[in-house]
Amino acid sequence: MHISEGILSGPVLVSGIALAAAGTAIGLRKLDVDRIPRAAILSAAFFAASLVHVPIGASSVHLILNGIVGLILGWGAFPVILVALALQAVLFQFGGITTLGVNTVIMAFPAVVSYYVFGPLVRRRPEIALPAAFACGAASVFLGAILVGLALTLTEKNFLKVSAIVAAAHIPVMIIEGIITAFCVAFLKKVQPEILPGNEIDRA
Amino acid sequence: MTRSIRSYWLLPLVVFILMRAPFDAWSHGTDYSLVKATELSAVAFYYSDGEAMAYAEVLVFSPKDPKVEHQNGRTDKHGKFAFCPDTPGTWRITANDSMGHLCQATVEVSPEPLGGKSDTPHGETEIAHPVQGSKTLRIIAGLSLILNLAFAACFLLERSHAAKRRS
Repeated sequence: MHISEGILSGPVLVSGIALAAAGTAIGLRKLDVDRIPRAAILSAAFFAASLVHVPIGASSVHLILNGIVGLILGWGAFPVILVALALQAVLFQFGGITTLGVNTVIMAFPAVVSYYVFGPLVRRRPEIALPAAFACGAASVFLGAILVGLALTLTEKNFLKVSAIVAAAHIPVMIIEGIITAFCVAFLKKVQPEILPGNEIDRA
Repeated sequence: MTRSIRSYWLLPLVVFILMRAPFDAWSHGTDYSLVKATELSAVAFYYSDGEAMAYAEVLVFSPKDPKVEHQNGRTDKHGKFAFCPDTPGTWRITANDSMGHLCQATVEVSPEPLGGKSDTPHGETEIAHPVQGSKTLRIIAGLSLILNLAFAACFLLERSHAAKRRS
């Protein structure tokens, strides 16, 4: 879902930077010392996951994991994803430096939305928590795809046709992400359920 | 019987008229000719890890009209796309894999007569080269940076809290 350099217009880039800066500031305020190690591990997982390509037909997709990141960190997803994206841009030319703000918003905003929408559900019994986790992973990717399309559409009308199929093209990724998020939530419910949101909604 | 004989003569007459008439439908035969390599420009698109952008949707924009695409198509299985520029100037080619990965290339077509006798293809293409160096080392560097950043943040915050507690 990384948008490359030289594609987006100036206003879109500036808006992305502003929104990412605001989200990161909020995220840093809500990220206390106890949660920094957790944030580091999730940032490392996000960084590594984007490098894992899953071949689908003639093309390939890469994992995103913004759903599970948002579920565990809430607003803390912004600084975590920003750091991972910056390193991907510098080390792998994944995305770009000027598009860092937009790419951060594309991946972190759905993570925060997922936190508030699905967070209260994942602490409940497994019959509710696991489908909610699946929906969280899938919805995060879907919302990210919508934001990619929106960024492209706001830049140039010629991209309208392309952006209309971005969401459809991410359906395989949504399914894979949903399954991974459900597995992660199932595992965390057994070993460390206090990591999952529920009582921490107000804190985040 | 006279009526049936008349109808039999009508049919070949109609066919004769149709074959002689200058209808556009008769021009829909097909043929081909090979394009000289000097008239072609080709671009190869790939991801930053070197993997080809296979079957990505390509849009080619001419210097004459930067809004409406001159040509559209898809890259082949090796991420390559070829087109025949008909105007000198800067041509813009974008490749989109519909997964949020976009790549833009520019081809400078010289103002020399197109399809000239030169053996070398005209134009110069800027192509993004895959990142050199060990991918594993870069992954390790990235992970290490993240963990070190977290360690530094923890250290600084703890020191700040300790200072506040002492005061």
